[in-house]
Amino acid sequence: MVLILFFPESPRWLIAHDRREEALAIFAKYHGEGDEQSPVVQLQYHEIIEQMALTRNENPWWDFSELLNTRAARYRLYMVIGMSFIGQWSGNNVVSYFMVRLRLYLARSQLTIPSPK
Amino acid sequence: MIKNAGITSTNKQLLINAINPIFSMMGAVYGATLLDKLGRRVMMLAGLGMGLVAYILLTAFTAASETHPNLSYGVIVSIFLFGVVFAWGFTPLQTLYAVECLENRTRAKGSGLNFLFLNVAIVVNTYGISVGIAKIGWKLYLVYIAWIVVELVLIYFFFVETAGKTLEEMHDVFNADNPRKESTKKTKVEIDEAGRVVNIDA
Repeated sequence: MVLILFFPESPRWLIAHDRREEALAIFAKYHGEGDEQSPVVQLQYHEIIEQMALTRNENPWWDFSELLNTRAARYRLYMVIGMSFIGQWSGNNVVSYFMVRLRLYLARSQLTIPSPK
Repeated sequence: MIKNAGITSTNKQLLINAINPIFSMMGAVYGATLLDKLGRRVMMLAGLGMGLVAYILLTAFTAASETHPNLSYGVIVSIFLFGVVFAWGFTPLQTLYAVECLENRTRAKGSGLNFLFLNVAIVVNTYGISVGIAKIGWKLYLVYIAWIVVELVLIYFFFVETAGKTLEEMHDVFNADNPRKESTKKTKVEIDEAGRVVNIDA
C-alpha cells in the first residue's frame, strides 16, 4: 500500500483539476520517451481534454437551484407539485385503499350489502 | 344462517375489491389512447369533473343507505364509476404531465422531486384518511367534494396545455406573462396551394 505513494498521478485526474502541464509531463514520460510533442502523447492529451469538455457535468446532483431560479422554472415546478397532489388527493385513494375500512364503518352502522334473493 | 350470510358477504367484498382495479385499468388504457386527441387539460377537467359527479352520487347513496339498506348497491356502483373515470382522466397523465412541464435539462431532477411530492401526498393520505374515516365516517366524502371543486378551478386557471408542443414551444409558454393563456392560444396558419406558409396569426 505504501508503494501507491510512488505511483504517478492519474493524468485524467490532473486534467480535471486544471493541472494540465503535470498531466502532459506524465504522458511524455510514460508514452513519449520524454518528448511532450510526440504525436502519441499529444493525441491522448487532447482526446482526454475533449472528452472532459463534452461530459463535464455543469450541474451537480445536489444542486436543485435550476428548478427554482427563474419564474418560468418555478411555474414548471408548480405544475409538477400540483399534479402530484391532485393525482393523489382527489378521493381516489379513499375509494380504493380504504374501501375495506369504509365497509367496516358501514357494517358498524348496521349496514350490510343485502344479498340478492 | 347468519354465519352463512356473513361468509357470502365476505366473498362478495373480496370480489368487489378485486374487480375495481381491473375496471380502473381498462379506463386508464382507454384514456391513454385519447391523450393527444383531447389534450391534457380537457382530459384532466373531464376526468375530474366526472369524478366529482361520481363522488356526489357516492355521498348521496351512502347517506341514503343509512335508512334504506338497499341503496348500498348504489354505493358500490358509484365507487366503480369513480374508479373508472378518474383512471381514464388522470392515471395516464400522472407521470406524463409532470415530465412534459419540465425542460430537458431539469427532467431528471424534476421527476425526482415529482416522486418525492407524490409520496408526501400518499403519506398524508395513508395516515390522514384512516383518522378521517374514524372521526367523521362517510362525511369525509363531503370534504373531498369540496376539494375536487378547488382542484377543478386550479386546473382550469393555471394548468398549461402541453399536448402537441415541442420543448421550444413549451419554453415560450412558460416564459409568457400568463403561461396558461399562452398555452391554450390557437395559432392560425395560412397556407397557399403549394403548401407554403403565407401568414401566421398568433
